[in-house]
Amino acid sequence: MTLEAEQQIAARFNVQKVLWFILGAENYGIKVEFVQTVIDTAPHTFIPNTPRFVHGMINLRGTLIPIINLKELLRMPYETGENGMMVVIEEPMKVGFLVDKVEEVLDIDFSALQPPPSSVSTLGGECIAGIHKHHDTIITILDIVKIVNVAKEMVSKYS
Amino acid sequence: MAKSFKTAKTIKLFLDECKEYLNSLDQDLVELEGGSAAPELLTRIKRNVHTIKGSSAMLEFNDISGVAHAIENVIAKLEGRLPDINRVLMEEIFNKIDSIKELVRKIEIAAEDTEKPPPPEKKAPVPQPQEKPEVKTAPAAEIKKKKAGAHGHAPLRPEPATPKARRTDLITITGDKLYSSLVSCFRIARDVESKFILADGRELSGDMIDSLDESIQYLYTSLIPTGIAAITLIFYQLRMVFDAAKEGKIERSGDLIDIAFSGISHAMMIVENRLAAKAAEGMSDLSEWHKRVSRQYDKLRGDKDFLNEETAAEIFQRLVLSADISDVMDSIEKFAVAKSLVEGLRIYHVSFIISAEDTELLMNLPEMCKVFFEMGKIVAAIYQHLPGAAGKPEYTAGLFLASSAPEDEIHRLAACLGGVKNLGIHLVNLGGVQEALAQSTAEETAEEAEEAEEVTPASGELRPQAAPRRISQRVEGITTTVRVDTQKLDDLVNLIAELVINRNKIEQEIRSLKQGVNSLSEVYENLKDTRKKASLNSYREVTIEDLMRPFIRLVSESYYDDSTQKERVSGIKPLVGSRHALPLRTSLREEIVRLYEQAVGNEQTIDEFTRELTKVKSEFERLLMEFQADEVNIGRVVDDLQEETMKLRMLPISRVFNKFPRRVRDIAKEIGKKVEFVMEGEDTELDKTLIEKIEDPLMHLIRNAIDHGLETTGERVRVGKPETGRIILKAAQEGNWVVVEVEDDGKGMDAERIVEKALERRLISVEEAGQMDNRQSLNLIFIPGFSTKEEVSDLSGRGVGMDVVKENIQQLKGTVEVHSAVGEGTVFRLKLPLTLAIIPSMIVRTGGIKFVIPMDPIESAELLTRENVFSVEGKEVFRYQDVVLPLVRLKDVFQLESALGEKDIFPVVVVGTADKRIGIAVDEVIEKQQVVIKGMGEFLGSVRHLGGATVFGDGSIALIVDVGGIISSVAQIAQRTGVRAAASRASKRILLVDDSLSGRIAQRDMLERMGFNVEVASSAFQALEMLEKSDYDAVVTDINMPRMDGYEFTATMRSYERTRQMPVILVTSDIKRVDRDKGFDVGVNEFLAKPFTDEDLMVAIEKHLKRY
Repeated sequence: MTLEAEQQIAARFNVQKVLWFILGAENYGIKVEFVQTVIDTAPHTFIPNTPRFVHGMINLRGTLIPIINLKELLRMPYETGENGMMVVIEEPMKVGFLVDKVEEVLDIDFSALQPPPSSVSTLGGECIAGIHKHHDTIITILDIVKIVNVAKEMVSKYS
Repeated sequence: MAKSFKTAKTIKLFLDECKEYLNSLDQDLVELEGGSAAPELLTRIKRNVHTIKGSSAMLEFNDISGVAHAIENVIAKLEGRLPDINRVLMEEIFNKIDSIKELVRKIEIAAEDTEKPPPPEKKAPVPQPQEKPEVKTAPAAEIKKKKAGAHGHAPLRPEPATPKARRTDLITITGDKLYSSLVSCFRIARDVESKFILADGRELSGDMIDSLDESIQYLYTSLIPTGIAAITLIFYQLRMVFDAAKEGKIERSGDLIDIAFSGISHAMMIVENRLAAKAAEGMSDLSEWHKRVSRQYDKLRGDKDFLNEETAAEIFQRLVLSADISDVMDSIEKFAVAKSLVEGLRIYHVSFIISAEDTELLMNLPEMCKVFFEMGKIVAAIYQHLPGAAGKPEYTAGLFLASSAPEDEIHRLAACLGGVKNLGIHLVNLGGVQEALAQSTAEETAEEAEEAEEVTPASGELRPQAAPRRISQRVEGITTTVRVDTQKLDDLVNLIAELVINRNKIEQEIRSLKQGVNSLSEVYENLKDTRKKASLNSYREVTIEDLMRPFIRLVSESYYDDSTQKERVSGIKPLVGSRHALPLRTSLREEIVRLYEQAVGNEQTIDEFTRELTKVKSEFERLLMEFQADEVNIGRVVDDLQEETMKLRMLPISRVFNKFPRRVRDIAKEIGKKVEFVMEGEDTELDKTLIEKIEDPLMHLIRNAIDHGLETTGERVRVGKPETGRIILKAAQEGNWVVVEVEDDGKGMDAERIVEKALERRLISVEEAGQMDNRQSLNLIFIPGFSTKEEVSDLSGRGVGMDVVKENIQQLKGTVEVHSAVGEGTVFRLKLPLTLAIIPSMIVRTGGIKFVIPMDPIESAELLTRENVFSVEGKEVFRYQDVVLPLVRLKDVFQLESALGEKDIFPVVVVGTADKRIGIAVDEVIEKQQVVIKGMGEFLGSVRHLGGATVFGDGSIALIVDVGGIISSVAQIAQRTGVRAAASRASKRILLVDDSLSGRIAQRDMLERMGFNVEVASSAFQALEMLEKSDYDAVVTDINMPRMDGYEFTATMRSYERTRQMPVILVTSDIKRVDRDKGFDVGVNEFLAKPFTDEDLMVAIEKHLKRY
């Protein structure tokens, strides 16, 4: 694709890069712009007096990063000891997510996203940016900023 | 007080910085004027101006910060209408920038010339005689002439050609020190001025005139005590004109405003020139100015109260006053004295002697003099040279105070001039001076006679010495300062922290190696023994395998995994976790294994093997020793480095303290209490980040002390206390802590009343109240939602309570305590860590997780047997040094499962703050170590009972325990333990109603953690539907919900038979706004304020479930 073509597409559509990952049997995506790095599960330290979805804290090259267990947060079944990958984001704050597997980075047109189904998810519809169909797969695009903020609020209410 | 940062170095830094900003400001402003409307441009301009303001204020270059402030005001006006930037405003900004440049240049010159001016030089006799007649006589004479012209009379006595005691003034005496603080007085006037400029000829509001009037008054009170006659002239006359204007005798016109501002500028110029010893400049303009004032006077001529100069001079001549003084007095000063007498006021002559050495006192003098304005006003101040011991000049000061107050009142006020010598107060009368408290005049005159001979040689001697010293200082100032970005400083601190971590790692390695070498020695001894025995018996029967077995076991045992380690009660405990085997240790083991395999493979004899082993052993012993020596050296350097870097972050607490005297004064004025504010230990140093954060809590405490702590003046007199309340703010270093105290001598706090109030607000239960001692009761004021003052005053209690103070201090890892005695006063004691970055601590383990307990609160670590643990009211306690202390298990604090929890012997760490001690039971005490504190990060914020985290040398993370937090919530933790043991709650169904999503989820999680069966509803309507369909054991609902709120919902529930008795718990985020009566009327069982803990919610539910 030429640069010009790319620019034209960018102008007509709201194409953004999305990191596609798996949670249980479901497919999710978050905007790549927020992602700092994806790592294999690192040894974590348990943090007491926090909600169950706070998986623990890891030491990522000298920086302490709290890890959210996305399955717990979305109230999906989670077995202790499950291993997966960690997606570390920088914005809106430094925090990592424990997911089962990271698939790949997709270009997704946000203007063509379908609204989330009316049966609201655990965290409420506002945390879902929309639904994207990738071939036969349905990918739920999460609004990571809202999710982090809701989670942070829950942590501070817990304390 | 003003032990400022104003050293040659900082001034140099400031100048460099300022010039940089000014340059970029110029560029940006030109761009702005050129029509560029980029918003970031304006932001940058604002930021630069703000920085100049900030740094100049810090260095007390208040004139610069004043101008910068004025620029900020103008820029604020520019905002929002960028496209059509007002020309006039732009011009205004440019002019102000220029005046900053001018000021910067002046400071530069002054910094070069007068770095630490040796006091005698300033008032060396040489410039004095020239200066004097020009300053005082010239303008005065001119003015007189003018007045005389109008009235055809010149009643001036001839000025003496050679006055006995030369007159001087405070600015000349103190040099730039006082100057810079004085110039801040002009800032207020400048603010007012910029308001007028912005009003730009539109009608003048009464408010603006009032604020101008106020600033003139303020300048009058601040500047008169400096004793510069020309300034007295300006402000005395301005005062008269404005007073007349207030009474309506003179019209409030634009001309009046002009006179005021140009008068203020003149005054400012006089002050500046005085500093630069250029007394003559600007004086001709002053006469021009005076002409304009006189024109205003003319309007008053008809007034019968008007005192003309002639009469005034006549009156003054009849006053009996020492000729030394009256000779040097300016005609305007004489006029002021005379006028006050005509107005029926008494004139007091307050005289004292002050030494040039006492710069502190000299600098504070204008401020101290302000007390006299409480009872009248100072109409003139005269300073004269007085010969002291060689090189230590002294001055006599005479303040002329016009007041209607009786003499003893004046004595009381004069007491504030603490530190001056020969304080005397005379009532000046027509025809006689009444001695009041005097002892001075005779001595003064005697000493004055010697002055001429004394002064000259003294200062002449000093000169040659002073010059070279100055040069060396200047060189130092240029070469040794480097301006450092704060970010770089922080990076440096982080790097040092990493270094400390690595050093700890080396320590760990050494210990581990030592252990390895020790076990090697053991094996070696073992080997020797065996060989001895073997040689006695059958030599061949012992194989190397047999000999090595104990060693192999030793090696592998210490490499056991942590988890298996825990199961073993005794045996060798490795100090270092197994997962991260350390390189040296590993190489030692590998070496041994290699030797062993080689011996077995080659069928070496035991002798051969022993020889090999000896070689390895001595090699490793040597390595260990070298390594240890290196570590000691590195350790010392790292320690020093750490200390020095920490010092870079340290700032004197005066940076915060200095802001308070002024605010105390303002607050005291506002609420009409007399307050004496004392500060101690301002040079105590504290970490930069702490300095920034303690200002608000401290201000809050001080405000409270004035507003709530001190009684009203009347009340104080009634109980026999001095009328003036005293507030002491002091700082001191105690070990690794800085203690800041705010003390008042007010009415104190009544513990009983506090308990009553807490009960009334349902903050505590009746049983709890019964158990509280005095100290605990006092500490109730730190509970959210508590305030003892009925009416919320304008100053305190604007929603920010003591709970916020405590929270703020705790966030800084500090503690706050209150001590109070009814009728005697209250002391708030804040204890803050010296630095936030690195702390010595004890590493413990509980439930398989490592925790860090800061060393400071730790008293000791003991082994406790189960028999020594008792139960009191269901709470665990233990006996420690003849006292019984509460026992808290760390696993309960953090709700962990611990395999060793029920051991018969377990370690307990005794921790305590000043007045409360507890024991914290842990599974294992590991070691002592310096740890680098890291925050929990933005996402986690502050987690209950955790103070942060740290990273060990092996990269693993440990959590830092918030000991203060645990101590203050011992009761809840113990209760939780008890409650958790209660019967299962799984069978209980709770209906949770909340319209907010996050609230719903957080509370559901909480309830589910407790074991309840929870169902949620997002509105009252939905909840009512659900209640109809199935049975619940209790309802937890939010109060504020759309359409139907919590009260209405409860009322509706109560109207149905099946839900009439069901427990209802109302949850709210603002307990203060809760209408309890209404709630209980409709049948609410309990209120809970957010944020609440698991325990709070559990206790509330359990209580009502039982009854239901």
